[in-house]
Amino acid sequence: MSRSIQSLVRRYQDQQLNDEEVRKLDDLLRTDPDAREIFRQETNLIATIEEIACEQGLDPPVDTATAPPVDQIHGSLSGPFTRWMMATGWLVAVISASLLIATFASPSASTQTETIATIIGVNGPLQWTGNGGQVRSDLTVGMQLPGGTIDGVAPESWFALEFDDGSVVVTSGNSMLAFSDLGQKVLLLKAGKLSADVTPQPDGFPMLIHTRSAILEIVGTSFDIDTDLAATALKVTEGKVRVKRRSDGQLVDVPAQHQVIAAADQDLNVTQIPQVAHHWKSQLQDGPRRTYGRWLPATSDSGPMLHCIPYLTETNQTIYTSSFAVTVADAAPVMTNAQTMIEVEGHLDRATDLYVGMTLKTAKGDFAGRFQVVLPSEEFQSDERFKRTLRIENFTLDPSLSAMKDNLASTSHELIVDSIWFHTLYQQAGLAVTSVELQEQSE
Amino acid sequence: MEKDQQYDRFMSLFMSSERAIRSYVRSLLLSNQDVDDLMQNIGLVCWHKFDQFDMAGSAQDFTRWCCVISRFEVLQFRRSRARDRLVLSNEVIELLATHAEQHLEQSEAERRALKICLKKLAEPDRRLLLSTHTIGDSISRIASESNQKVRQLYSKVNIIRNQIGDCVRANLSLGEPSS
Repeated sequence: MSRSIQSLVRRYQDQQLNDEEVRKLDDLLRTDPDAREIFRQETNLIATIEEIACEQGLDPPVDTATAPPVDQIHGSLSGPFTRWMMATGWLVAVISASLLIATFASPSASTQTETIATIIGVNGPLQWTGNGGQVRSDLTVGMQLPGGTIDGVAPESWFALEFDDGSVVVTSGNSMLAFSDLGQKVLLLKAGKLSADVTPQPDGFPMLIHTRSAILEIVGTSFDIDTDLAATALKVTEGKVRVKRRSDGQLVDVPAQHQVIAAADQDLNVTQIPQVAHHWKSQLQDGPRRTYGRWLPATSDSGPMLHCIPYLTETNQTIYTSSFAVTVADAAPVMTNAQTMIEVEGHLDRATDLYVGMTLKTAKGDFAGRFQVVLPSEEFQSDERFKRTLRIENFTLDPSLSAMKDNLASTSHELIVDSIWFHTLYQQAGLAVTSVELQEQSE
Repeated sequence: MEKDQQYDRFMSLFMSSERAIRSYVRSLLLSNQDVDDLMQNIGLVCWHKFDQFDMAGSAQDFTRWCCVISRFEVLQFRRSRARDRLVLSNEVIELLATHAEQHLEQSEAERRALKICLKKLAEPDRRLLLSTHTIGDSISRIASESNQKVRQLYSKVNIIRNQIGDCVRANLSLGEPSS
């Protein structure tokens, strides 16, 4: 009997039960205390294995051949920091900014207190945690920072930092970047997108960018990185970047206008950057990669969906949001033009104003703004599957960026689409996107 | 208590309890991704309510206190996902939560034993078991990449899980394992 309960529990956790089996398990757990004990043991086992699997996916120790002495970077890349990166990504998003003070301020952690960089652009919810324990979420242009970690909390988060030598790094969306400069710039990109324009670095001290799957050595160049759990995609605009794949130590040099993907399960091939594309379509059937939100697979009566998830804004209001990365480092950049239109399909549990937007950047990688369309609640009905086609000319600059508008694009044409996002405000409206497609309208 | 001291105290307690809380929440939710989503709120709510916690309480008291808070967060979270199918009823989740709260120390001991047992596994088995619980990986994918049948591989994973379970029970019957 216990083995059959155990089997049911495991298959439940592996999401392999059908409706009838779930009901059977539900009955068993309701009526049988022994079944509840088996359930506890099994889920505890699975939770622990997941935790260890997460730890195993972490970066190995920093390459001592190319990295500065361990004690120099201790404050930013070891001990409590690493533990935080691996196990408490969720904590970072909301409360760690406050809570981690104690961790970073521990007596054993060497800290960097001198400022090394200046914020030159900031938008959307972000939190910065200094190595010395200082925490800020009220980041503004012109603020000088010592080393630390910047965490983009939402798809529309965007952050540009200029080091004292003029090198600029930009993160966008849900990215997490730790940075330090103790004679050598060392960055750790845990996840997300980073663009950089790096001035020539001192001989023997290239900028090092660590990701889960690669170590990048930059002497002076412009490039984009897109990293996730399994792979790092690099696109070099100018100059040259040396990439070391972590899984086997293989090295390649990536010249200007070329790209590479560093992943354990594919060849480390350097290829030319493709030309721009004017068409892009979401691929939710392939899984949640490069999306933000809660992905659900297809069922017998509906296709895969990306549900909005909540986050708190700087003003403590809850927004429900989801997004799709559009231009990614291993494919042609997706560019808008005057004929661009966006077709969106999804479902709303209840009628509400629906915000559809694009985060755009220039061909050089500079932030060009967020442009959006607001579809009023009157256009929807509760429990409605909807399909809308939006023309590019109807997208206008997000009002929250109005103070920066002189530095941003005046229209949404001829720009690279970084991401497409959706949100509803304040109350959960059950927004789920099933498909989004960017294409040119026929003449 | 000064705010800084409160931070220190909360930080210390939360970091030491975090794995237990997470495991507790995981036992009530179907996916690790859901846990990630919810742990944001739980951390925040625990922090906001921290002045209601008895400062003389032990770390175990704190874990239990956080788990009670987490239970309500889980139920609220599930209500927001009421459209999802293939999940257990709220009544059962309440029963499981109560049961888990009564066995927090036992769960912690099992976790410690399990880590020791995992180290004893043959490397290929260990890798297979961990791979099936790595984000972005799945038994189907591993089966496809290794030209094996899903059912066959799934059986193998279950045999390894049984070995681990036996090892944990053996460890616990010999006394508290050292980590």
